Amino acid sequence: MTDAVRTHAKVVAASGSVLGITGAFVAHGLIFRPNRIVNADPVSLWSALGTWGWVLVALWVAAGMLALSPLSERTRGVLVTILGGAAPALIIWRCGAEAAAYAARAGDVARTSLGATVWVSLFAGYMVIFAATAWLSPGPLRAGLTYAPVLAIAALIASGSLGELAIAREYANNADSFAREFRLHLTYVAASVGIGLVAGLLLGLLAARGRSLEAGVFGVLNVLQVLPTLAFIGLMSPVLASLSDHIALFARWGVRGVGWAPVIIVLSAYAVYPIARNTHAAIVSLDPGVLDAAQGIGMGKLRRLAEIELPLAMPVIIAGLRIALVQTTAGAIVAGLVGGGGLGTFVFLGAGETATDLILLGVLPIVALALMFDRGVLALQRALGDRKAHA
Amino acid sequence: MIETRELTKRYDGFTAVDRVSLSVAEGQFAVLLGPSGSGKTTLLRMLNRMVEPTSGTVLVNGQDTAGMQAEALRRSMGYVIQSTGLFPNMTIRRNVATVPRLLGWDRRRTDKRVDEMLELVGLDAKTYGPKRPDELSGGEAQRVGVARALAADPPVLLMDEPFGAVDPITREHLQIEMKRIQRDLRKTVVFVTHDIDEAVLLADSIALLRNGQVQQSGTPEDLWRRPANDFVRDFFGENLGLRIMARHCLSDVELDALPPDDSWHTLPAIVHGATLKEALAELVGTGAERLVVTVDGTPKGTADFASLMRALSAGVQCADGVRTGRGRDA
Ligand SMILES: Nc1ncnc2c1ncn2[C@@H]1O[C@H](COP(=O)(O)OP(=O)(O)OP(=O)(O)O)[C@@H](O)[C@H]1O
Ligand SMILES: [Mg+2]
Repeated sequence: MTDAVRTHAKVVAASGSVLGITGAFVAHGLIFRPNRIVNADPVSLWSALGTWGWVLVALWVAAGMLALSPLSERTRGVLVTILGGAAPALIIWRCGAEAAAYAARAGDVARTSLGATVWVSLFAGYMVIFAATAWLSPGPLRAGLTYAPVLAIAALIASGSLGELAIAREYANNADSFAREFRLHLTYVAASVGIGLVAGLLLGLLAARGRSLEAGVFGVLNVLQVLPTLAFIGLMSPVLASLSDHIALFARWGVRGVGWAPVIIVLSAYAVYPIARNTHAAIVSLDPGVLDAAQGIGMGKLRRLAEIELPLAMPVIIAGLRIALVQTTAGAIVAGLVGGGGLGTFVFLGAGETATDLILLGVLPIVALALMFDRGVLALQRALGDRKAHA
Repeated sequence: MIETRELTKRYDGFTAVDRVSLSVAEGQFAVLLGPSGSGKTTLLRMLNRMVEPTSGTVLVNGQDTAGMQAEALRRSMGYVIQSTGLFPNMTIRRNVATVPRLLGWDRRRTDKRVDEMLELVGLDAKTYGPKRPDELSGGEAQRVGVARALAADPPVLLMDEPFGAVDPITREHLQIEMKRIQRDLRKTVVFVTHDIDEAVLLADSIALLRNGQVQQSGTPEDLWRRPANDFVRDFFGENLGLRIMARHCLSDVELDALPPDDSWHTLPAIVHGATLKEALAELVGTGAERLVVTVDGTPKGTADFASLMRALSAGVQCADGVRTGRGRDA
């Protein structure tokens, strides 16, 4: 870690806490409505949380001041990470409690929605933690402190103490379909990234075999990549529809102009690109001497590929996989628009009803999944790198 | 052992190797020498079919290699290149074990062989075996390259400027060890270099190439005494005589007996492992007419300029393991 990064971390952490403080006072913290349809004016977190508002502001101020303090790096890192995580956790906890109190006062049809500054505060917390971890060395302590707020919020959700928030009510009303659409969403991601991985590897390897192949492969992939999703689906719809009209097997599988088939085709096509790109880039940048030696001592083509080329290219290919996974997780929203289901269902349903909390019911899990995939693959990448360095 | 007949490689009308006919006897150290772009690498790579000839044939033990399976042919020839080409994703042990694994040797035999090979090239198997190639110095990596090439005990070793990228002192060590290994194991070596000193030091025979054609082939002494044309003469330059002297050792010189009186005590002493070049330098440097030659510190006889010249004409090379590369008696 360079000194510049460590100094930048101070600025980022302090900015995060300023953002958090500002967020506490901007009037879009909680929205109390007598029922689901009625509009109401949002209030700031400061006024919604009462005494806890003081605690919240104190946490942010302390985080910012400690970040700029001359404490030792480790102490500073530990304290600021804790504070940066405590503030968002506090907000979520208290919002849940306020929602419960409001429901008790105003009855069962009352709704308490989280406003924009709640999400801004979560982001502020992320900034602070992200910056403060630069002062900590990797290990269980850092990982524990980083993920503690995530676990705390998960525990709040599990305990049911957030149950009166509007988004939780939306969930409760849609619990069955939520589980189904969540699984479907994951299925879309897994299938598309799976297809994209196989096709991307093959196309990347093919492109690495020569200039003209490279031009051909990426000529096609580039076009697919810039084609807007809906236009893509629109182009394919009639083709798929007529395929299933003429081929009984397709019809039996439920291939239609809309639904799962165009979704998986589009998502796979997008997932191919980063994997093919990275595979190609990794393979062509391999040390020619290594490949020459492998051939010269009598390794066959397949062995060279399996024992030398792919292992050496693996970190870069996995980086491509990471992009594909995150991108597809978000991209699969489109299924909700073309009758394919998935978490996008809630997004578009909510958009139609102008029910923000229903939209969030679709968006939040997608964001969570994307972050999880991102971190997960990154950890895998690190583990592979470490094994290479120490074995 | 290895023979090429009218071997030719053309690239789009450009002839990289032009009708080369050479033969390398079993156990011989053959050097392909020539300026950059003269076709050395192309010629070498046609021997193990990394490059397919445009025309002509390569025979190994009388068999045309065109009919052999390329991978099998390559596994019977060690291959060492300047950039070492060690596999960065594997440990040193696994690198060295590559060809035995390809040949399906069992684990114990492979392990034992890897230990022997690392020892042969002067690396401690316990220390170096678990390392990765990027943890080695250039010289160490090159030793591993040689160990890997020799691991399956191939009768032939192909080497393309293997020591071109290491510092001069390490290079000299590697050259001397390479010569020792080649003699001990009786390998047939085809060695590409553009370094004249290296060629003259190592070669039993040299083929000098220019524009893909062999200008002359023979022992370094042949090329020195009877250059076929001006290119050969100019290529080796004026110092070839001295370079040839570096191939021969005092151990090959018929020494004159020590004079019975004590007069030799005043003569400069030199170990019998020193090269003739070093002996000559000693004569010139000290102004003495004779040197006392010692074996393990004991004076054995004396040599003068004439006896050096006689040894040179006899054409013998340093006996095994004697050459020290250090002239003065410590
Ligand atoms: N694949 C190829 N396509 C076209 N020309 C080639 C190819 N390989 C080699 N050549 C040409 O053939 C000639 C001989 O190349 P080669 O590599 O055999 O030379 P070399 O004697 O090994 O040179 P150096 O000492 O620089 O390694 C060069 O002019 C080179 O440009
Ligand atoms: Mg070359």
